[in-house]
Amino acid sequence: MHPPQQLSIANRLLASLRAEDFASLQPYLEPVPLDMRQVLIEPNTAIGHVYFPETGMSSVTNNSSGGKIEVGVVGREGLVGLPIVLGIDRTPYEHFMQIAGHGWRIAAPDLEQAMAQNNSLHRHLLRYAQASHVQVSETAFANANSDVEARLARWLLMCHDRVEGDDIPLTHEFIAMMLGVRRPGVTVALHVLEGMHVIRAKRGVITVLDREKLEELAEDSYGLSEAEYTRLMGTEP
Amino acid sequence: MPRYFLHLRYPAPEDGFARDDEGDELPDPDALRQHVMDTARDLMRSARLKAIPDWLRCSFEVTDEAGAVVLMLPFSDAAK
Repeated sequence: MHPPQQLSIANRLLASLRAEDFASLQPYLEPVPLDMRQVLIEPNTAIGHVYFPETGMSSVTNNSSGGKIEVGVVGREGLVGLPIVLGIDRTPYEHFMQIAGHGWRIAAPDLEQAMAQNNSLHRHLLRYAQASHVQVSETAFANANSDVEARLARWLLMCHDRVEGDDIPLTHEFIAMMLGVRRPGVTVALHVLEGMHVIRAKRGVITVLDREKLEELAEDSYGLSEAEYTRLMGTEP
Repeated sequence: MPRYFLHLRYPAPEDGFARDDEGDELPDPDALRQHVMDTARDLMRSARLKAIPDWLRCSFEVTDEAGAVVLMLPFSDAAK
């Protein structure tokens, strides 16, 4: 396997590193498939690898309610395994793939060593930590402030940002778990969006037809964290 | 285990019927009724939707795999 070339990398975090910072990681990056439902990080367990998705979307969930409720998402804009960047070896949250894709991974000790030897690499990843913190905070804001339609619109936009094309493979049951709403609440909201020709919902696949309208429907729950990411990282998420 | 579909009827100018294509597996009619009640109560308690200003005016129409209606539950019954 040839080492990855920075120019051909879709992961925004790796692509936005200074060339010499990328070079310090390059020998340790290993290509990996990211399968549907694959667990990347187990809760309360030492993190073995940090993942940089190229495509697909992973979900950060709190599993304590019997089901899972999503508290964050990571795709090509970020990395899975942020505690390692912050000098911490584990997290209470599970990280698993909710939309399959592929990406790169690096063993946690190799990333720790690269950051210890290269302050500018570490600083760049710390800026991402802040961008991720803003995203999670905006989820808390949306949960308190927005109704199911707006939260669903925001969540579909966040998925759409991280998949190739307009098809998002998701069941209603899965969306319901992620939003912490019973499935019929999601079905009604999708039914309304479909009636407005904003999306098309077929069994297991949601197709985004009108992204602009979706942004309108998300009201103030979408956009702030994406703009902050762009400001912090110097590239769009 | 048999699978049941919880379609939701809600007041709307047109097409107030949200069709459930995914369904839930329940072992028997008692478990089904309890599940539908719990779902209705949970929605009334915590799901805030623009499309549904008043959950009490909604009802579940539950069908089996053959499409036969096996249970109708107005949310007003679940609220009692």
